[in-house]
Amino acid sequence: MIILRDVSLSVPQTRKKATTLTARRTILSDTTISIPTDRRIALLGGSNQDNTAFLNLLGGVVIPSRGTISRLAKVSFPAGHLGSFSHELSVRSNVAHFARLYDVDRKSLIALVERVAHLGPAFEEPYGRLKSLQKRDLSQVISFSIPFDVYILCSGLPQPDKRRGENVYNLFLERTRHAGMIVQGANLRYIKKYFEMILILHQGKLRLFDDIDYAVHLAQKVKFRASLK
Amino acid sequence: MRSRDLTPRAQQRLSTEPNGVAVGVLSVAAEVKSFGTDLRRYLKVMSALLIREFENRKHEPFLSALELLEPIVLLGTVIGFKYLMDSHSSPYGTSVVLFYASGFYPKYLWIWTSRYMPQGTPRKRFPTEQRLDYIFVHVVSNATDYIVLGLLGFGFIYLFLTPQALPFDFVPVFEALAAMLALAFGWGLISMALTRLFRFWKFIAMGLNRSLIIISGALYVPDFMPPDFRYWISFNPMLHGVALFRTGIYPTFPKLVLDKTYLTHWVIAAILIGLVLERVTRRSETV
Repeated sequence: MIILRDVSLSVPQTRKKATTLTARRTILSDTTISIPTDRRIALLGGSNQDNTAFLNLLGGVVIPSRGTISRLAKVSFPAGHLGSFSHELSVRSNVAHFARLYDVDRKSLIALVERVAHLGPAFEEPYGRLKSLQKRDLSQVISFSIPFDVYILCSGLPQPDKRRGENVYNLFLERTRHAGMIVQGANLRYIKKYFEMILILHQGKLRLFDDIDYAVHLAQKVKFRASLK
Repeated sequence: MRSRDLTPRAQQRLSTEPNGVAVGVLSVAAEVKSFGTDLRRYLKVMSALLIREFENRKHEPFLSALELLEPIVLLGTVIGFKYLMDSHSSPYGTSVVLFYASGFYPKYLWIWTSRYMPQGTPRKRFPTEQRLDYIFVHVVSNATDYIVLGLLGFGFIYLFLTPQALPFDFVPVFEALAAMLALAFGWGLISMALTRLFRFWKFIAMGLNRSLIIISGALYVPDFMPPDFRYWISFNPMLHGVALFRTGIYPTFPKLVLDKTYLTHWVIAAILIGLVLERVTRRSETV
């Protein structure tokens, strides 16, 4: 369970050169809600930027402007988050750093990531030499390789593709067999089939629905109104 | 019972190897929350950050060494200038090199530790890492660098120039270094918060930190200065740190200006104000 108590989140209107005095935009205002961590939850409603900021808040990448968040489960960092990878160190050393950070067996994690990420010789090379897509993939693989109770995904569900093969997808399926997930950017076609609950973020308010049909209808209405503006 | 109703540990035991991907090999950390487990996790995070910091340095050994050159170059310049002026006598003791080295060493420990406090936004970190963790790692790694530099530098002076370089009393030496390190930690936090408010502050701080060398007693013995000048420079806490360091090297170093209580008050105030400002600016760094 992730419990938000009177949580507000505002972000600087311009991210470049933002200081404490930069004007801010509200994404979440005085929200109290409990989000289950053992369900498949899709996040709808807000703009992509707002949804990502909210998921970063749930994942602990961003701290709330006000209020407290209690995480009564092992919550993953948002899959694909690039965080504090060291550009000078090899990919292997970076993965070892994660094992130490998240208190998992180092050798097992390195072996699993090496097998799933399919980086070949690049696994021994400095992380900074990876292409940006490879960096995102690696972050996803590391996220799925660590057994969390709930996974946070900012860019939809991973799909098997030619570039990455099926390993990442299979690892994700295996993990989410038992763990929950909170996903932004899920395709509406899959939502009814795959998800059990829906979170709608709109104008600083957040609501959790377990009636999928109603929530999808509501989210489409919100999106339609936003497009009229 | 559905499998997701099980505890993570039980789920882990259930993990098999479907689709050719083995995931059951990784263990799940303890779920029970207590002070002990929290402390254990915190220490794990700190050790992970420290290990990575030192691994990073191994990849750029020359860069780390170059960063330590500034006090050595300054020492060389001051001594060279003194010789050019045809003044070979040391302001105190028998060795000119030892006198200036014992002034620059604690002062530069303060400068290097207080600068570049890691202040990246949370986006540049992972949720388990906090800004304060990075700051502690920065302080520890800088202190380690400086202890190594001190051992090498004063060892060199001891072997080739004067046996006086071996402190006759290590207690004031350690006290002075600890005070300068703590003062640097506090000032670094304050400076970091000011940089968050005004971007140009870091450039002012760079100049300010170095210009304070003039009034920190590294280039002269404060007690030998005119009373008025001595009175005004005694407000600088670094002067007391430098004087305390020298009392461990020179047995009869004048202690008229030295006030350990004043230095302690500064250390406590700097750390308190620094931590409060870090706390205040922590939420505003949400980007």
